Amino acid sequence: MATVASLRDHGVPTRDIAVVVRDLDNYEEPLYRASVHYGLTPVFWVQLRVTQTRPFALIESVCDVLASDNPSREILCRPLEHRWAPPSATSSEWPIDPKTIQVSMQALPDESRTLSEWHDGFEGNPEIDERFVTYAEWLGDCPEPAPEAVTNVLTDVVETYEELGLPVTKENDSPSLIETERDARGTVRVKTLVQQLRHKYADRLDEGTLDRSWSSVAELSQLIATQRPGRREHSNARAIDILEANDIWLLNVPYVLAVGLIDGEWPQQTESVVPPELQEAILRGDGSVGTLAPRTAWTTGRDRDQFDDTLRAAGNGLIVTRHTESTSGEERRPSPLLDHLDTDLVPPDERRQLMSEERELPNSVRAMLKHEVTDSE
Amino acid sequence: MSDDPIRLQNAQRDIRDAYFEHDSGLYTLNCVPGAGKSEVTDHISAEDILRRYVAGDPTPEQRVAAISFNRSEAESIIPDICDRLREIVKHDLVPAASKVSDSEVEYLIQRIRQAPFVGTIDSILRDVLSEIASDIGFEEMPVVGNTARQKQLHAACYRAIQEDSDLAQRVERLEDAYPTGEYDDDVSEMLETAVTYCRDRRISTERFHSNLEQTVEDVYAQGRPGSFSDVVAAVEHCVGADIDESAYDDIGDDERNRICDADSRLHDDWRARINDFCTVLEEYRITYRQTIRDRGVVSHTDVAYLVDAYFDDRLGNVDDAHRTRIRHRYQTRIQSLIIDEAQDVSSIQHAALSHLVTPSARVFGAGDLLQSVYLWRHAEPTLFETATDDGEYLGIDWDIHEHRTAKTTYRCVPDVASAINEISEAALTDPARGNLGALDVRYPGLEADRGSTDESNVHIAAFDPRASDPDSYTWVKPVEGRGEATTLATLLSKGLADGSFTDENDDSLGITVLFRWSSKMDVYEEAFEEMGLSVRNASEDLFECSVVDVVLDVCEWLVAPADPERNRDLVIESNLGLEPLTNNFETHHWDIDAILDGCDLTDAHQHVLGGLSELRDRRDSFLSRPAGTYAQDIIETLALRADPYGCFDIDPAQRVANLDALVETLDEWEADEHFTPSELTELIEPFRENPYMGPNQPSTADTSHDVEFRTVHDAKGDQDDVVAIANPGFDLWKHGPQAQRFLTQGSIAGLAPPTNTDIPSDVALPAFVNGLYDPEDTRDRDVGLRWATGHWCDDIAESADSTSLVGPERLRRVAANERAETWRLLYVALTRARDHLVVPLPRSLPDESRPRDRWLDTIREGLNFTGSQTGSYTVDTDTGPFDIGVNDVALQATWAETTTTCDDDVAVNPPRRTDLDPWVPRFTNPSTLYPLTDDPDAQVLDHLLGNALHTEANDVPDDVPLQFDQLGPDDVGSCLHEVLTTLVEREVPEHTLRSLGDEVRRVFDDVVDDHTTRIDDDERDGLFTFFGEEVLDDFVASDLWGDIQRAERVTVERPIDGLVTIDDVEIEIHGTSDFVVKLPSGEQHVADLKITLTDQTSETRRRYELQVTAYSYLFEQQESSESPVKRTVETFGVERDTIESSWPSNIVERRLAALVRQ
Repeated sequence: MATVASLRDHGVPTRDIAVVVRDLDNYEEPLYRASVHYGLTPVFWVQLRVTQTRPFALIESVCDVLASDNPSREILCRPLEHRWAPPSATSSEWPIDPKTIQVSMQALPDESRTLSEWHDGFEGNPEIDERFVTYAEWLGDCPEPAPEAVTNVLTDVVETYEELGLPVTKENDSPSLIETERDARGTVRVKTLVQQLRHKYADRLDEGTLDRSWSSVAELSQLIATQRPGRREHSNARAIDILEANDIWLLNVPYVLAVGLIDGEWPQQTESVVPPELQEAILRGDGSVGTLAPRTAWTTGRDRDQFDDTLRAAGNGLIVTRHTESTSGEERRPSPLLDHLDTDLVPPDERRQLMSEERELPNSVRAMLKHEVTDSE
Repeated sequence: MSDDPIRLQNAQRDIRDAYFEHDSGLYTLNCVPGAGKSEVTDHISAEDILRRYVAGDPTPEQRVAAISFNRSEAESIIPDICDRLREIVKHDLVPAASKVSDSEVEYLIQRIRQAPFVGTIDSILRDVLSEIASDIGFEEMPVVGNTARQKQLHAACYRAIQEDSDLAQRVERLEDAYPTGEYDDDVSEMLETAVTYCRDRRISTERFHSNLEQTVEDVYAQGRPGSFSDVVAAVEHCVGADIDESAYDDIGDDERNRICDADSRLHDDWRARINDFCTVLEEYRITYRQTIRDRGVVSHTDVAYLVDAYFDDRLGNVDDAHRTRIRHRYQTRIQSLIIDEAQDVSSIQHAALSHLVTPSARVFGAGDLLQSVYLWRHAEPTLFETATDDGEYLGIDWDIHEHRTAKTTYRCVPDVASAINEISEAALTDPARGNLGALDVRYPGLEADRGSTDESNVHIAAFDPRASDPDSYTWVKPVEGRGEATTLATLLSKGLADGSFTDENDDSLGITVLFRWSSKMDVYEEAFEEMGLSVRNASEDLFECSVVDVVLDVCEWLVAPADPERNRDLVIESNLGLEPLTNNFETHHWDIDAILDGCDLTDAHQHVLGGLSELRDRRDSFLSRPAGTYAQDIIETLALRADPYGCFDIDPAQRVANLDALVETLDEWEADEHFTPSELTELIEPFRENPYMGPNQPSTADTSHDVEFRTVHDAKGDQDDVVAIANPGFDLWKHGPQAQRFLTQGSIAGLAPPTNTDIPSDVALPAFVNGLYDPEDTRDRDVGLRWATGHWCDDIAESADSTSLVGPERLRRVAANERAETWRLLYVALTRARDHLVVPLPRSLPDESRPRDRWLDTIREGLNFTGSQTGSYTVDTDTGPFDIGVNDVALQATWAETTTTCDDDVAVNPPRRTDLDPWVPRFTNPSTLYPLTDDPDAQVLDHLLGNALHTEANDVPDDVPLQFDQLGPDDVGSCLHEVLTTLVEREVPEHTLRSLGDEVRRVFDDVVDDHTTRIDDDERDGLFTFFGEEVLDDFVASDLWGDIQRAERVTVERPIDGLVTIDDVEIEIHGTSDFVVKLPSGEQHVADLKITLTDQTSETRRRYELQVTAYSYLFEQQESSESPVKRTVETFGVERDTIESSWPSNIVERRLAALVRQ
């Protein structure tokens, strides 16, 4: 990301830069942190991990409390921590601020109790914020987990979150609204999920594959959340695009940074249930199996194609990065995809300079910029 | 790739020829270090695959398994086989090479990259486990080899045992007998070790019990002592000779009785505790068996054990047909098995592997018994020994067995080989040193293939030591004067400066300094840095690092940040630098906010407390996100990488690397689980208590370092140009079995006697320093008569065997095997050198020479160093003389680091989160452009949520005849809008529209049904009436309708996109025009439709005007046509209006520019 920051320093527009990774699973978090370090807002063109968003944590924690006969202090208070608010709430009172919740939690016994015992314990206890009583009453009023009732309860929860919880995120966020955008995407996704939940839950109850309980609801939410793709649109015009290689197809971006060209990472072998001997026979098209269509997923061909797409997408320059050893000092070999690529190696001192406080683009990257000027002349 | 290919020679070639001569059989190669063991295994793997391909197998990589013990070596097997294959074909090294084209080679290389059975033994067995996991009670493939999760699992098993009321008394007795100590295994650790041992040896608890009993019986060979003379007999039994009993003359009868009584008690207590231990272990194993399945977590040993037990039918209740199928699949697949470092294979790995191989396979094993240094990790070198000697391996007595020994080393120069031979032959074949253990040592001797050089290759860094123990800091790096480390550093640095350790291009040679233990690395590093040498050292524990500790402290605090106790701990115990605020905290009841508000704080304190307060407020996000992620949050919020206030006394690059390593470790340990701060704290606790069990700190030196520090174990398998042996003066008995409570080595297991038996400490029992038994004192060669020792028999009784250690037979064997392995370790260390071997040696010894107890004395003897030589001297050997240089570098030469380092930005500047540029919309829509640009802050959330952006509007008048029961005003608007556009799209004729004919009603109903299914007839009819009267009538009367009627072409809902670039920020506008009407004149009418239920406000009007203008702007961008374009927003419903805009189209850019430049 130091290179991206330097390209930006040299006036390269945001949309003229793209960072490409074969698989963002392990790269999203480090690239996110590195971007923020260099003062760049990143956007990752991958599905939102909705289960790691607050609105999801909120509905899940509500299900957990309702599923438990004797919730512990932590389980009980978790929805409040995730900014639960009663459907009729106003923004001046709700959600309860974290410190108040934690101080009240500290005053609660570290044990498991029934909801009504918790409720009785809250009432008239001066050490517990009185809004805890409202919360306990709401829990007590929650219906049995019939499909429609579940949807209504959770819809109320998430809509109230949209109304009162999300603005808190915005309030605490940096001007780039990274967290807010994530939270908003999570909210939209969870609202859809709650609607899907109603039908799926009803179906599963009919099939007899789930029992009627709030813990089933939580379990099913997890399942739906991890299966269904969310919206992938990103809203910030100033954010740097970070994509997976299968999304670079047909794009044309002047400066492409391909990250993680390590043997075993890119290309990567995909698992298949078809035995390798049969795969090979099908790919070769020998005999009757030849009628079956070839599958690039069985070879590393798809990864190669995507790397070719990455090369083609780069208008002015392709910058390839790889690490040479793991944290524990084991050697990491370069990707075989680099074997046939004519690259200029950035010398160690230029790399150090790039990473230093006095950041400077390596000469070979700087040459790409000059190349562009010459072209445009 | 070099143009000069490696050609197999001598024994390498012989064994390869034998291997390919047959279709099955066992082929073993015993190699001296540097004999090209890996080259042979790579060659055989590559040629085997090539031959199979040439013979017509299109997927030959499926038949060849190539495995190694060491993970980093295993990772390079595939690339190395690929390289070798290319080399074989390029240089036509074997007959099959000429039968493949270049493209076929590339095809084969692609295939080899997918080879399923290449890697570590563990990885192959993991593959097998994945096939059988569900068959043996796992829900899915378990997590394998995750140290932290395994620790957690064992902790859970131990808790279960503690809570078992039937075992409570036994556990309590065991805990009393074996209390937790800093360097001692406690009961839980011993149970953990016992499970692994039993699984590795495939033994029942009963057999394990008898194994422990045998050790007791051996220690009390004469049985329970009945008199003091029995105790004396035990001493003689341990020494193996008559001893001078006059040493006991001073012990009076009372004392003799006390000793005898105590010894009897110890005997009884010991057996009782072993009984307790095995009873508890039996339950522990049952719990463990179930818990690994419940939690889906297993160790590598478990994997091998389960694979073996599955095929051996010891697990019960498995599907026979499936098992037969799986066995058959592996046995038909693996037709060639190539094992590198075969001496390191453990008993259970060997057992598991044996199920995958049949006598029709070809097995090649390469190894070196003299490099067997993993006894402590349950390596079983005798398996390879039996393979080489008897042709038995993997449970098969092979009909065809070929064995070769490769003595030629291609690694070191002749003088280094001679020096190694001089030191090692004597040491390894000596029955008091290398040949002390069970392994039958034959020293083949190194024969160097490389040519001699005209310089010294063996160097002694000679120094005059201060009178002290050769393993002490005073010896290694005294406060005054030059010790061992400084002398070695001097020789290396001056050698770099004067060209002794540079190549023909004056480039520095690679230098590795090898250590037996990492404990002296710190002072060595200090000495080396003082001499201007940059050191790469990756041997320090990650969890020893202060900044890493802080992250974990904060995680722990976040479990309950309002808890005053936790706040107190964080302030007083952690390295956050808050301790000076203790009084303030006490005054303010440990409330961070109160301190922030009410105290005059330094910037550093303000920063830390502000960060903590922020983290506390975000605690909830830590409950739903991975630990690695929230650890990053902590690091970022407290700016730990940059450490702007200098809180941590640690090199900036190391600080950053350690924090990165922490995050990576947490990610790895957590795998797919999410640990809350409380769960994480529990997971990490054992590693914080014993940091050596966790990962090491990563090295921050890049390729430019001068010297690398490694432990010998870590360097096994590697080589370097210059190798120095550091700290050779440690005592070999240090950390020996006498210092261990629980011994599990090969077939011997032993649990030390309990520590809480009352034994008189005031009565000596010569020659045991610690009398009968005193386990507290592990610094000596013994902890008393009744456990293992590090004494030599002839030190106690002159007549005794000088090659035997004192102790009962079984414990003596354990000690002897450990000792013998240490000598092999020295051999491994010495044989890492290519061009130069360097050892620091004292000119004089503080005491008499003890070659059987120290490397130092053995090396000194081997190199004939008397202390008086200077410059260089010659050592004569049977194979010719070689030279040794003593401090043979130019004294005036000075080595200065040539590279200047500057810290990375990340180590200097905190993350720039607050400096991130403000959000600017990337995608906009003409219809929402007005509200979004007018008040972005108020509209951004709705924009992000994809909600409608509302402008200030009037309330729906009461006289609007609509019910809004199921459809609210917004729904009504979008419904009627859709009905109208659909009617136009379907080209419904005017008379049908005017008469509200059936088709109109059908379209209306369809659209309404799409929006809601619950609307009742009254609401539906009311809405239809409203549509007919207030919308459709006006629509048919409008100019727009007139244009539609006359049009050449009408496009409904046409997307119109454009791009606005402000400075270098691109904003996309994506609109959909309801109607684009192309008239015969060429003129176009672009119209957007609004259904209004209220009277317009000035705001809504402006909104519509900007929308119209935006469409103009987009059309101007898109179309070069000269024909005029008419743009309107048409409102129907409560208010009928046609809005055209007089605004210039660049107002769009101006409004967006204001957003960008705000």
